[in-house]
Parts: sequence; structure tokens; C-alpha cells
Amino acid sequence: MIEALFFTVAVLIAAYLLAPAFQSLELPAADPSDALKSAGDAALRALHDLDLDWQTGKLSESDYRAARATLEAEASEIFRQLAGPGAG
Amino acid sequence: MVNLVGEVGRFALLAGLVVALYGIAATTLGLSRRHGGYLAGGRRAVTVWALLMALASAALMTAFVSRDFSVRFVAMASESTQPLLQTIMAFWGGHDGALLLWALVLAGYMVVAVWSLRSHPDLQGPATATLLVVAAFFSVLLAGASNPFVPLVPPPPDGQGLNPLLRNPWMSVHPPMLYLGYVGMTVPFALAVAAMITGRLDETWVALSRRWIVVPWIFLTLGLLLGAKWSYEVLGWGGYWAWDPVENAAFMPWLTATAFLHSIQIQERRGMLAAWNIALILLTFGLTIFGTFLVRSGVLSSVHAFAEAPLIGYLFLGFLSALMLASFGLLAWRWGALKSRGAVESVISRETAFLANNLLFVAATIVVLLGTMFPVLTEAFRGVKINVGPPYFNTVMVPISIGILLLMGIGPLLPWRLATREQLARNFTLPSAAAVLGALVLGLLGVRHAGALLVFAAALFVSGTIVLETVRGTRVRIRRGERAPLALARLFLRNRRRYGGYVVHFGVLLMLVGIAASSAFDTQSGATLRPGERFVVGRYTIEYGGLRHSELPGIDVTEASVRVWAGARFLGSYAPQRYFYRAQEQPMHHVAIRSSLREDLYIILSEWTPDGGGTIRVLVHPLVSWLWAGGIVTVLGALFAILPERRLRAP
Repeated sequence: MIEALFFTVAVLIAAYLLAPAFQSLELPAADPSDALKSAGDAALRALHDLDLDWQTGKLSESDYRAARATLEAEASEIFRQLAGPGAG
Repeated sequence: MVNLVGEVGRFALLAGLVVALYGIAATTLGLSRRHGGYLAGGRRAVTVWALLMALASAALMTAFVSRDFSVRFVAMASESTQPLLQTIMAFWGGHDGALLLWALVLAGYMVVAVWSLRSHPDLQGPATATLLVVAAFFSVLLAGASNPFVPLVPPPPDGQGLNPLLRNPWMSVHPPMLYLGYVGMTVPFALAVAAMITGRLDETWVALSRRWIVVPWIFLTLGLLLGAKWSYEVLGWGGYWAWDPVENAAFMPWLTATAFLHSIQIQERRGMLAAWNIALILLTFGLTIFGTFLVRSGVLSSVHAFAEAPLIGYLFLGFLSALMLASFGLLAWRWGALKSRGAVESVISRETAFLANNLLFVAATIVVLLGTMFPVLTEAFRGVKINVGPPYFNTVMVPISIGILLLMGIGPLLPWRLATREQLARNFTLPSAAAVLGALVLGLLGVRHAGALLVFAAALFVSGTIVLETVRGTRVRIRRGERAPLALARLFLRNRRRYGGYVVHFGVLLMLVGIAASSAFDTQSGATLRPGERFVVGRYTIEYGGLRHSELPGIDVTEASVRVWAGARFLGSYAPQRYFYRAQEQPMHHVAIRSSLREDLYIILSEWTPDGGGTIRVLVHPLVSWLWAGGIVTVLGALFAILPERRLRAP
């Protein structure tokens, strides 16, 4: 009795596991903008942190301006790429 | 007669092995042939494996609760007189059940990880395969040498009972927390392998890894703390950390994971240390497996270790070697793609502070590893086991801890890239003054212990930096028109990672102060007394009132009555106990602890005489409660830091 139950469960598991192998499922495509979105988030966080560092007196005005210009340029480039090839 | 529970358990574990192997094959085929159907089969294997581990766990729990002693593991780890909570704890009170708990926790992590990676399909496949390799290894153990469902014929009338050392409420949460920490490190490992296979070592991997390592880090922190609390209350020696090999085994991955949590920020902000970060993740996972090998192989003796099982030890060692070889091989293969984009521009910068922090954490890991393995090394080379013991660890770890503590204050106040002399003066004058002034005051108050004084001064310095950061940040918001309480709340809520990190730092410094004070300034005394006699320890007067003998199921209980005064003030009556477990012929202390913010009074009934005399040992540990409070603050800070942040908008 118990053997029959285990056999049935094993057959059901095998059917569930093997079923997709006989289907022509498309390989899920990676979102090409995935890395850019993460980079964009990181760039915005860096800008936010830099502003807080500046406001709490960790940076001189000139260092802050220079660092912000660099980070803004990086962020702009990322968001330009995210917006697509036609984006200016 | 068929034992249904045992049969179900054995079936689930065997089916689990087959399913895990199928999952590896399906995912690997899916990746190599770019076949979505096979990959879906691999993902289904994860779900089915998880369900089978849940089924096996339910079967084992049923066997325990129904006191089914025809299952050998149940007969070894429980007995009919055990209360329900101890019977449930017996699940992980022995080697086989603990491995099943490991598999169950891994199953939970795998399901969540594979599901959450659906938006990153390129990483999902290789990560799934890696997770299934680990699952298959545990399935091999559980279906074979460590099967908890091995039948016992004929079943004994009663079991041997849970090890008395484990019959403590802390044991109901310590092992699960530790395993949630240990096992959770498998996910960042799988992500690192997936990133190396696909070459996706970008910001997506950074964000995913950080999130996936913080969660097990929190559990590992809790597990370590609960283990220390168990040691403090159960082992009856008055301490909470003995540099025992098994404690060290759990501590090492915590150290490397903590190093990673800092160095990943350098990669995030400066594009540096990608290879180092990958190596730290691989090492962290490797150390969790190495720790399990230490606990189960019998190569080292420990109060926490399971019984010697050399075969299991070799299997763990083989698995660890294969995984480390393969994963570090992948790292070498991807070395070229992991070159740093940035460079350290100045010695005085936040990245340098983080680098120094990483070096100290890794140095601490090496120190602990060497000290732990020293008996094995000396036996291999000189034929005799030599233990280095706490003096070695304390001598080396105290300066490293002070260094880490100082960097906790220095790092956050330094800007990225470089700091000027004016900024240094502006940021560090106040915290440094607090540290120097505090040390002077403590010196004047009679604190002469150099190590403790250094820790207290460093803690004051770090506290100063945290207060400074909080006050300055709040002021910025007040200048924008917010009221002070709202400004403070919003400062924390809108900068969760940064201020959550400061809360963690504050928790850690509380713990280090507690450790320093309780280690440097503990006092103890003991006396054999007749009822009504007194003795003095520190500021306390202890009066012994006599003994009382009683019985619990399977246990002889001897209880002393002790009254305590601080000067003329009566503090209360306490009842330290000694249990004697008849079946196991094992005595156990049940210490009485009077805990306050200032100090713990730790009362032990050591011995007694037939005529009613008792030997009472009393220890006074200053600031021990700071250790536990600091642990809670650390965990809360880390939880706050991983709460989802408000999405920032593009400029």
C-alpha cells in the first residue's frame, strides 16, 4: 500500500519536473537595461550621499563642486543610454 | 509493522537527492543548449526539493512529538519525560537532525532566491545550478550516512534523552538563527558564481549581493549572540566566549561577511575591489562549510561539537575543496574583467579607511583560523595536540578590535577620494577631545587597565563621531524649516543605509565596551558555608541559607538559598541550582543571575556537604548587559539599513 503511494508520488513529481523539457519555452531574455538601471540607482545614491557629505561639512566647496560635476556627468550618461539611442 | 513516519522520511530524502541531481542536469543542459524548458525544469526542481525537505522535516518532527523510538535518531535525542519544547529542540540536538534543519533552511532560501531572480534571468540559471549543487551535497548526506530515519529494531521502551547541555530555552532559537546565518551565505555565493560565469559583475550584482548577504549576516549575529548567552547561562563558568573551536567556526564567516559589507561600498562608489569582494564572498561561504566540518568531523574537541563522525568530516572537506577550487578557478578566469576602474587618490580618504578595516577583519579571520587549527597543525607536524587557548586570542584580538573600533569612527567622517587638513580638524576635533577627556576622567576614577581604557576611549571617539554626524545632519534639515524631531526622523528614514550603519556601529561599540569591562574588571570569590554564614565579594554580602532537594522527571534538583546585600541594602533572595540528569549521569548548573546595567551578579552552587553546607561561588561581571543590549541594537540597526529606500529621482 505504502509502496504504491510512494510510486504514485514519484510519478507525479517526475511528470511535473519533466513536463517543461518537452515544451518549446523561450529562453527568458535578460533585460539589456538591467545593469544600466542598477548603475543609475547607484549613481543617484552617490549624488545623494555626496550632497549629505557636503551639507554635514565633510567636503570643501571646491571638492564638492568637482565631485558633483563628475558624478552628474556619469549619471547623465547612464540616463541618456537608458532613454535610448535617440535621446539627446 | 511498517513505520509510516520513517518510510515517508526516507522516501522524501531519497527523492530529494534524485530531484536535486535532475535539477543540476536540467539547468546545466538548459544553459548550454539555451533551452528555456530545461531551465524551467531546474526551477521546478528547486520547488520540489524544498517541498521534499519540508516533508522530511515534518516526518521527523512527527516522530519526535509522537515519541516514536523505532526511529534511531529520535531514540538517541529524546525521551518520554522530556517537555514538548525540549522534544521539538531535539530535532536539531543531534547531527542527523541538524543536517536536516540545514537542508530545510537551504530549501527556504533557494525558493526565495530563485523566485526573486526572475527579473535577472541571465543570473537565475547559473545561480539555480549552484544552489542545487549544494542541495545535492546535503541530500547525499541525508539520504546516506546522516539519514535521521534509520530504524531501530527492536525499538527501546524509552529514548536516551536530549543532551542536558542543550535543554535550555536559548537552544530553541540559537541553532535555527545560526543556521539561517550559515546557510544564507549560500545565496551570495551562488550569485557570485553566476556573476563570474555570465560576466555580469556590474552594479546589479553589487546590489543583489549586498542585499543577500545582510540578511544572513543579521541571523549570524543573532546566532553568535544567542550562543554566547547560552554559554553564559548554561555552562556555569561565568563567561560567554571561550574561543572554543565551534564558536570560532561561526565567528570566522561573520568576520569575512562584515569585511564584505564594507568593501562592497568601495566597489559601489569607486568601481574598485571587485575581485576582492568576490573572494570575500567565496571565502565566507567556504568558512561556513569549514565550520560545519569542524563541528562534525571530530578533528577538534569542543563542548558544542557533535559526536565524532570522520566519514562526514571527510565528505565535508572533499565538498569544500571541490567548491573552493572551482569557484576560485572561476575567479582566476574572470580576473581580467575584474580590474578596478578607480584608484586610491589619497591615503586620507574613506576608501583607505575601508581598506584598512578590511585588512583588520581579514587579519582577525586569519588569527582565529590559525588559533583554531593550531592543535591540528601541531599534531600533524609534531605528533602532539597543542591548544593555544584564550591568552593567544586575547593578546592578538584586542589590538585588532581597537583598530576596528577606531576605524568605525574615522571612516564615516572622511569623504571619498581625499580629505584636506581643514576637514580633518573640523571633523575630528570634537570626537578626539571626547575620547581624551573621557580617558582622563576614567583614569582619575581609578581605571588602570590599559586595554580596557583604550577600548573605552575608542568607544567615546566613535560615539562622538556618531553624535556629530546625527547633529549635523539634523541641523541641515532644521535649516530647511523642519522641526527638530521630524528632522531627526527624516534624516534617518531618508538615509537608511548610512544611519542604519551608524546604529550598527553604536551597537558594536556597546558590545565591545561590555566585553572589555567584563573581561578586565570581573571579580570573583567563593566559600563553603554553613546555613546563616556570610561572605563578601566586591560590594556584595552573600548569605547562605541552606539547601533544598527535590525531583523533576529524570532529574535530581539541589537548590541553595542565597540572600544578597549591597552594603546595607537588601537586594533579594536567589536560588542557584544544580541538576543531576539520572539517565545521562550528568550534572548541570542552573546559575542565578542578578542583572543590571551596571553589572551582573553571577551565583553558582558548586558543591555541598551531606550536613547541609554549601560551596557558593560568586562572580561580579561589570557591564555584561551592555553586550546583550549592544547585540540587539546592532541587529535593529542592520534591519533598519536594509529596509527598502525611497527611490531617488533622476536629476
